[in-house]
Amino acid sequence: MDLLLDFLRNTGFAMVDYRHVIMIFFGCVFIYLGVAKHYEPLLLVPIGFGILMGNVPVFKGLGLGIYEKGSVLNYLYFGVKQGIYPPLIFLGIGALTDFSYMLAQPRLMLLGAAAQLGIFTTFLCALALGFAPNEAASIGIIGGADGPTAIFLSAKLAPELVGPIAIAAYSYMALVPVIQPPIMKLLTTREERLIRMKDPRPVSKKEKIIFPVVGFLMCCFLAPAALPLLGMLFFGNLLKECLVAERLAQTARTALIDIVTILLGITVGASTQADVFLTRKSVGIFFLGAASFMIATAGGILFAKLMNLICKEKINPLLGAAGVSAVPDSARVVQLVGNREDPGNYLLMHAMAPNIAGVIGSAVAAGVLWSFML
Amino acid sequence: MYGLEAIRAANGWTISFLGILVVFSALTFLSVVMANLNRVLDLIDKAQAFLAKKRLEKLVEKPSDYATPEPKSTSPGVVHLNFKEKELMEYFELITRKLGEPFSLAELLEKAEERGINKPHSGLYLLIKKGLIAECEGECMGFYCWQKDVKVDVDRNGEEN
Repeated sequence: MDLLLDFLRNTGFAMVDYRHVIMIFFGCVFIYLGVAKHYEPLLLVPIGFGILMGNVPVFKGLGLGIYEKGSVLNYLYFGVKQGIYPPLIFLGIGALTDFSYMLAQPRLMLLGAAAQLGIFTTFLCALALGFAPNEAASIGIIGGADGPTAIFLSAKLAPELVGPIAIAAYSYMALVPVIQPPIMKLLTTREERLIRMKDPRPVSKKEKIIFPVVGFLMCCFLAPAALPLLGMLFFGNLLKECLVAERLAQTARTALIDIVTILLGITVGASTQADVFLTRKSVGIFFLGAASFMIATAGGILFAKLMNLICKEKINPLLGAAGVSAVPDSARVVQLVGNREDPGNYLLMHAMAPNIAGVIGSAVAAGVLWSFML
Repeated sequence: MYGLEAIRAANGWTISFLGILVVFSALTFLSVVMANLNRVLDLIDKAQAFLAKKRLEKLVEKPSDYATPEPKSTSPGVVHLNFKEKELMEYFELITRKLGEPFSLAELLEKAEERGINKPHSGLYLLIKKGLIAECEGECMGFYCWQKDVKVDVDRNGEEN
């Protein structure tokens, strides 16, 4: 009888408390959003299931929890803690992404820089709210709308916040179609939304091959701390463009990125154990993350309007919203909003330019923040 | 510590200002370089084309240098071609008549592609392999010319292939 009672005391049903239930509910919401609503399913489904895995109450000391040394999940979590997974994801992104839209219209890269305003404004807000500088920097990077970058920086600066920051970053990335359109409409006039832009010029193969080398050297000489992320991003792109390493490019953009996404999603999800995740700090992170996204979107749009005052050739200011990375969702949102005003206006290819520049910009910003916090 | 005091204590203003400055500088430099890269590449292409043209002109101006180009290989005598190969050879002859001899293979291929000749690379390879076209020696090295002393025999049986 005692044996049976011991067994029952060690089951999840006996150990569960309301925080586990809340987190399991969030896990189910993530899975629902991914499966039913198709919001970033490749990320939300693994993260959602990871939340379920991390919040089944387990007997401490058995080496089951993600924070227990020697557990399987702890070994997998090593890739997050040490910042191994994000650069590998960047390798895949580089091998997947066509930079030619950005190369055809280099001035649109500045919109990608302007949208990083969200990172630094949120950094200041987080400091003002009493977060430590390293935590504030990790929270600010949510505004870069780039999950791997946010995980990379928070793993380096505030490992205890990786869970909330990753969840906030990916949640807002999934909610880009909800968050951005109202800000875009608020900050632009109908005439501005109707602006049509010239088709981008064709980009030669030579340019596409030279860009990753030049881009890597220039960015990393300026912000060396961005080397792991940008190095992998540009390397992946060189593999794609040089055509002589097609097998490597193919692996990077398919098997490798898929494997790392699974491991990253599951472990980040599992790291949201109720006792670690449900804290006041997490609530603050969610609010600041939302603010960061909004400021980033507004920064890009306002900068595009500023450029229109100076440049002869007008830019559709909606493109500024694509400066927050979230590739390619924010570019798609630009296309949708522009299309609603003028069904014949195709902004997607133009929006890809600030979108990709945003990835580079947020990685540089992460490098800069990291180097300041060392 | 909260508010502006916390920002000041953590050098928040400086970090933010420098941070945004570095991000802007990186992307501005990159955009300037990429905006001019295609111009630089165009310039290099034009320079290369100009030099090649000059080289050709120089060769044309000095007919004695190449009038009797010494082919690398001596005539093998008679070459058997099927009807299609003969036709292909005639197409290339037409083009080289306009280009003049000696000619560059790259230019010949380009013209052949422009005129829509089917599989120009393999066609040209065949003519070289059969010894109908050969590389010149001496100052004309790198250019090619027709082997006038090679006789072509059209194989009627190959026509069916």
